[in-house]
Amino acid sequence: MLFDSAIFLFVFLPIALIAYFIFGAVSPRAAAVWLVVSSGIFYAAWNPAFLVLLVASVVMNYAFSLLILHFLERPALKSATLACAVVINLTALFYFKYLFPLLGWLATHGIHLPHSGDRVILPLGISFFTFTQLGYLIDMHAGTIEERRFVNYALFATFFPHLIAGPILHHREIMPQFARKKTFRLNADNLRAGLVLFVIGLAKKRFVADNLAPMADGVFSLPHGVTLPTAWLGALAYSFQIYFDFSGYSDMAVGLALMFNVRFPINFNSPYKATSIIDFWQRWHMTLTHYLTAYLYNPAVLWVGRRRMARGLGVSRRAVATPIGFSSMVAVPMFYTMALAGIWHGAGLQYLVFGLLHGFYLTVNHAQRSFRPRAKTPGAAHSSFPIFGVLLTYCSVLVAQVFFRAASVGDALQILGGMAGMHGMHIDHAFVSALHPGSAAIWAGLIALCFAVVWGMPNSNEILAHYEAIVLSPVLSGAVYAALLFVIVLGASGPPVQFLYFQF
Amino acid sequence: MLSPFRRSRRTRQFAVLLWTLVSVVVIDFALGALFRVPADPRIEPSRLQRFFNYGRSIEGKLRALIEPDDKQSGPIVVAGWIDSTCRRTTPNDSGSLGVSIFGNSFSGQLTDAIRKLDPTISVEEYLGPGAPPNHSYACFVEENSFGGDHNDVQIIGVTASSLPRMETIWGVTTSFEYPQPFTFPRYRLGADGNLIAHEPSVRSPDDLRRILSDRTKWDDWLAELSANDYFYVRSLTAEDLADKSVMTRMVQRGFGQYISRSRMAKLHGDDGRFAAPDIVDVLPKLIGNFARIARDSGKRPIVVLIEEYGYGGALMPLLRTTLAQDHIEYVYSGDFVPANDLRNYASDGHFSPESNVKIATALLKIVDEKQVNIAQAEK
Repeated sequence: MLFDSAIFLFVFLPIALIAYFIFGAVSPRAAAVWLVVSSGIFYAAWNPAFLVLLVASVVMNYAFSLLILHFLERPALKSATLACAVVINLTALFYFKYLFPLLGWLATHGIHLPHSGDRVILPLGISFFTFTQLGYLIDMHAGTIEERRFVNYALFATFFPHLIAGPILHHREIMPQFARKKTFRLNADNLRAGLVLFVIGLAKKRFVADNLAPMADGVFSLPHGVTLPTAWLGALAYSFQIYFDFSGYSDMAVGLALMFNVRFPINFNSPYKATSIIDFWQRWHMTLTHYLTAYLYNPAVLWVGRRRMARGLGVSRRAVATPIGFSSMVAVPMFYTMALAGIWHGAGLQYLVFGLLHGFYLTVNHAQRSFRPRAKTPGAAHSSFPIFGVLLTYCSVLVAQVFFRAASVGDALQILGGMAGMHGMHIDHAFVSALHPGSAAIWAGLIALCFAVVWGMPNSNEILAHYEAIVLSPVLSGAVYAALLFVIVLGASGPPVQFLYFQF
Repeated sequence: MLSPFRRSRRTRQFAVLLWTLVSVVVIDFALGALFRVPADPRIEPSRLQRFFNYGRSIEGKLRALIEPDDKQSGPIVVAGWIDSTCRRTTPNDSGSLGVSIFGNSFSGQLTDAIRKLDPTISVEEYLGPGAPPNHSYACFVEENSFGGDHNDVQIIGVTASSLPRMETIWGVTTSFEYPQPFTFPRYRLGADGNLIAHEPSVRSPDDLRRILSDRTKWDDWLAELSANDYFYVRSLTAEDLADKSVMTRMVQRGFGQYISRSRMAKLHGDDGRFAAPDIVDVLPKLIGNFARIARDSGKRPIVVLIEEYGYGGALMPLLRTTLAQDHIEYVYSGDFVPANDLRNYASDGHFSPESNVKIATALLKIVDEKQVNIAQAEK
């Protein structure tokens, strides 16, 4: 049941919303239970068997959280419980997501390990709900959790707008909202704002991302010998496809949650306007960045810092500005974090290369900040040519995205070779003519239009802020809502195309 | 009692709701008026006219397409019917090699390519729009039992994308948006391993006219579909109020897409390949029977396996054993035009002319071998 499918929009969502507010008027607890149940129905619509896995995961992790709570005064047992929970969660994730690709990879290299059964189907959203809950347990271990009711926990873990592909939620952002009674009461302003955001996301996904998919899919399915213009068209088409697809999905998720009076953190903030890679990661899949920073990068930096302090070495900004200090306190944790971030996206060397490339970019960016001479006047450092920064950042991201999309490292290198002109400079008319609208010039125009949109237009959050500030007459408001409804109907009428991030 | 502030807020919300409804009606009416399909079914609608009409029920679309006379009806109405398409006399008294080809538009394009490559060969085509192998097989059986086919070579073209239609009896249930109203039998395997056919009761455009003008016969036809057509959905088939509005038609189209995709997915296994018994068991049997019947009547059977974009590797696993065991000659499109290579296609999804020439050339190599054999026999 995709967010843009007719069954979701015209059956599931209206029933879920109406029942939620009816239950909410009677009892917030009943409304919360209803939301958990409807999230279960939403998840089971893909494959009912995986509902068992989701329920097991939620119950098990909640039980672990209670155990951690029980052992709060006994640090060794508390840590052992957390370690046990982490191992079980990661083992399940490894089994479903990595084991069979790994066995396949080993088999292609002549190493045949005995295993029973065929390749398993990856349960949707397993990475998202696993990491969301692991974050909760880690914070429970740190003693920072206040909200402990099961229904609220289950709602935090399974609330359907974020269940399949995020945003990755932090309990501190969400669980307090479930403790408020007003969350369960109809709020027309939130409903309207949520609807606007949802429609923006739907339009991004349906009218932009899905229409770029044929070019991206076509080029990446035929990486060998791809010529320069075709390779660039394919890479750029994918770059915009994944942005409009994932940010569209995120807008829809945030909008849906808002309809239920739940405020999700935003996940995208015009990432292609970023002037550096550090800036990019503060704008792209922001909740993943926060998660990686909180649960991987910061602990690694802390660990290194403690070891350095134990050996009498400094951990100050000045220490970081030395080659050895920078290597141990920035570069190593960064490569470690981004390598894991790459692998988190999937089993395949190309994902590891994607992560390592970003680790390299970020390290270089941090080195530039740490080692460059300090600006003499405030603001002077930021007055350099920003277009150069935007272009350099975008091109760096594009190269990494080629690895992210390609079926293998070899395929990615072929595409990059094509982009460098190694396979010819001519337009492959036989290829382009098979794709509607059939002309390289029109495709180039579409890509140019995408650049104009991402660089020249406000993003969803900015549009929503403007919208909320405008008071229209009832006639104009009616026309706007009718237009939004038309966009929803238009979006739901076409063939549903799965969101790219569902595979992760 | 509500405060004045609350009351004015409520009033405003009510006014907004009212104006939203009014605006929806205006948009709906305007789109309906702007993009009305031409009243004459022989006139091809524009892309936008077709787009806003995709969600109309099958019954509604058929009523718009069918006129009392075949010539006044939409061209698609008369295409592919087995009784009229396949029951033909094809005398081949030219002395040249005669070839009959059964299939759909992909086979039709191969026929054109063969004619260009070797104009001396006499080629007869027996096609249905998007016709599945069950249509092609039934057409072949009809043509041969009718006794009119004198061509030495019998070719059946199997396209991978048409296989889901092996679960249907009507060319509209898998093609809700653009119905092709011809019918064909559905085959299942009996306990003895032989084919059991369900022959549809509607067999011609005139039959269609009859059921559309008689509510009882229409309901009987829907009951027949319900029992024999895996893709049949009553709410998408029967005309209702949803047909009257552009917006509800679009919603209905969305549901049609959802249902069609869900059912299509159930025909495939976890590995993405076809797994439904009525496809994986029946298709080899159809091809085996085709070869046997052709040989029994002194003709040479050839199979063309056509895998389109997105269907690479779908056909060979289903037919490899049968082709080998029954020594059936075949041409596999994937050997010449890999299915996943976009460069092999035209923008309408068919193979490009160059691709058709490659496959037709391979096919002619087999066919010419036959011609050599005839020449040797005559000597």
